[in-house]
Amino acid sequence: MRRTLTSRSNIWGLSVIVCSALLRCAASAQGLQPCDEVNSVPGYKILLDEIKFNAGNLARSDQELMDLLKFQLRNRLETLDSDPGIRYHLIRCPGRMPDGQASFPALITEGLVKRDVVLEIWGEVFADSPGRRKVFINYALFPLGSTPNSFFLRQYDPKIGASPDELVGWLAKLNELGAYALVARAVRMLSYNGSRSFDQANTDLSTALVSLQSAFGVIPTASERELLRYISNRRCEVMRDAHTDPAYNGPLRLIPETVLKGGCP
Amino acid sequence: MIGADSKGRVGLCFLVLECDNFLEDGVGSPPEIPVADTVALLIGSIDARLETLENEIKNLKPHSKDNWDKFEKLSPIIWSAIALFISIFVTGRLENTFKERQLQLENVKDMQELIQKLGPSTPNDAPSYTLSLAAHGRYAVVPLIQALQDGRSEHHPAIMDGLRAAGAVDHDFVCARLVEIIDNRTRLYQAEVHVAAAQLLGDLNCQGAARALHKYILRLQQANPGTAPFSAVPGSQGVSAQDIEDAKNVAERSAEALREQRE
Repeated sequence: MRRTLTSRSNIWGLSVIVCSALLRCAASAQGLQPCDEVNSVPGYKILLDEIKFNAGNLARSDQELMDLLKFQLRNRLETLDSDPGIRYHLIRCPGRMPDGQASFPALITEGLVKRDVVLEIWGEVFADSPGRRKVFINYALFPLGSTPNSFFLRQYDPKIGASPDELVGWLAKLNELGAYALVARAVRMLSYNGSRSFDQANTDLSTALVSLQSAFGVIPTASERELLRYISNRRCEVMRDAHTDPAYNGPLRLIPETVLKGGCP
Repeated sequence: MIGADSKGRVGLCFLVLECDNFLEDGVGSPPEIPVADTVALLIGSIDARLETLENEIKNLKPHSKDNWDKFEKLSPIIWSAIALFISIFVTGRLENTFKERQLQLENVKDMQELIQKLGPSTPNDAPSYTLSLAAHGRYAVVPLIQALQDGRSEHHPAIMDGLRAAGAVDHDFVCARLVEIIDNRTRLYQAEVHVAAAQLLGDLNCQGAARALHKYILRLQQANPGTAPFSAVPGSQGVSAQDIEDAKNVAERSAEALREQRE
């Protein structure tokens, strides 16, 4: 009798687990092809997923354009920093096309943060009118957590020529992309290294703030405003911590209290 | 002195001799026979012989049986029963062992395909593979833990679900394997496997793991990135203080859950 009850409760438990797991997976994590290189490349990583160029009726295949974009972006991002310890590594993830925030449940996001993935980008290009295109790029800044919103969908109307090479060239030089990467890396560095990263984080956050203020324009959206406020507050926090942390003896300690109070909330 | 028996015999012999003489000679009158003596002798002789026979018959009566006699009688049955019992027991055990090995091999064959498909699958498809693996119960635990160890963060939720499902099928075995993970101090497993094991011990209500979890928490309280019981997450910069803190927090939550469940 006991065995029957036990086996019944086992079957019941198994059914509940299976159903909940299948329901959960049906609702999330669509199209998130695994990107194995994340596990083998050490350091701060930027994941370049698919950008569907051909919705824009371009003459060249997506594969060719993605390869071109990868080389141009890698050339730019991987040479930004002289210190190899903080240098970005661009990882191309073929076939990976997340479905917004729903594709990143907490466990997956946590795993990516632990692997020092600071930014993931994917998008689509549409033909707006002959010779003009609308570009939609998604940015996921993983180390930021849930506050502020770390997922951004940005729309661009690049004023460039009609050739696919020009479009790829424009994407590779997009300053905004570098700014998101700077913010995310600064946050990750602070949580991993603490006071040893105060100087670099302060520089990165300041650069990103200026860059994003310019990119968002005079009337940023609510989520953009929230991100700008977050960057500013985080920077102030770093400067305050630099004053009080006994382990830190760098230049930020020399900033006068009055300047700090004046510039920070 | 002559006894009754000898007297009778002598009388009889005398009678026989006299008759023979009478018949041979064919003359004279037959000798006088002492009838009463002869009869008495004959009766005495018969009595003596009867008495002897009775004594012999008495001596022939069977003795009452002792335990050894009974054992001797029953021994063929006992030996047969023992042989039957041994043959059933040994054959059963051998058969079970053989069947278990066979089942294990069949499980490995079945699971091989699922493991291969799990590797490149999307997070959307991964649960169907991990849950199918989990249906193999105890045999699925090692491949699922190995999948966690490989560190595809996209599969992490599906693998956790798989281990929970395997726990529903073979609870004690899964709990024992998870305890082995948190008890391990050789850095065999990466940080995420430790965190997952600590969490699952609470999720699966592994009451037998309460002591191991308590020891684990104490060990993590004294650990630093250099002495942590786990290795770094693949692709990370190394074991961080945050990894230790995460594992400790999860272990504390599980220990608390087990305590609440007991009360």
